[in-house]
Amino acid sequence: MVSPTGPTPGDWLQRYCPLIDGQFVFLNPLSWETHLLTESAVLVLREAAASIEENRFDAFLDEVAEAGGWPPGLEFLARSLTTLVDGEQEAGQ
Amino acid sequence: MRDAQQSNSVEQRRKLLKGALAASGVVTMGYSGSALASINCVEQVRTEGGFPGTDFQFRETDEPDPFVGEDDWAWVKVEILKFTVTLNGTPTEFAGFQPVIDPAAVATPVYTVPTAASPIMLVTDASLSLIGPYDPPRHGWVLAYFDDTGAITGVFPTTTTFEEGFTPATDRCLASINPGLDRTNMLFGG
Repeated sequence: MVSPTGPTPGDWLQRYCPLIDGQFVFLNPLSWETHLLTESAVLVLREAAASIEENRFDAFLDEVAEAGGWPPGLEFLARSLTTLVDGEQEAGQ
Repeated sequence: MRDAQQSNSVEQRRKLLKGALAASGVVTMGYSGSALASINCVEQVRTEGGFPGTDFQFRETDEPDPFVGEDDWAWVKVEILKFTVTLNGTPTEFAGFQPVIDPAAVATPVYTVPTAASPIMLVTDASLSLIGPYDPPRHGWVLAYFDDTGAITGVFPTTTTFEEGFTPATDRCLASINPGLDRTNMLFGG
């Protein structure tokens, strides 16, 4: 269940992953670090966000594993998006 | 047939995901998150609003600060002065103000102080002349407008439409994106 008060993972990407000077800059909602991302990485995070909102993040993790696994650093960012939903739905659980 | 189509779609999605994963790149920059978050805080005002409407973007008040409240929009102080215009041959005195970003600026337009009977009006009559300040002095506040970096770009009523480059902003937002903003003539409140 997505929290009714805060931004959803999709909202977060919309607001805090702007394209600045040709690169996407993602604000990690967990650590508050910023990360430069390629367009492909943003695409993966959008897929992750959609799966979190639809309560199928576990299945998404399986899909990523089948597709060859996570590139360095991206899984942590995808899992950080799960902190935007309430405690009943945790990453990978 | 339907199963075959679904299977095809799933396979296409897998290929897309595989390609995206392979081309993904992440570079960690560090803790500049507050600045990034704030880039959007001025933009957000344009989508979410919440600032006073144009009927409330000028307020005449004396000290102390009357704007401290739930909201913390940025306002610029204006001095209310005595002006006169000649209407039908008769000099008519009125209270007016000149909305300026820089208090040292000259040759700025003169607006009337609104009353219950009369809204703010731009005075352009050739007979317009300044008499001087009131005693005791009168002051008002006009809502300030900013660009998305937090630089002030205008004040009410010279600026009334909000768009990119001209957006009201809050103290908290400005503190994040433009901590060096000159706040000498500003005040924050609802």
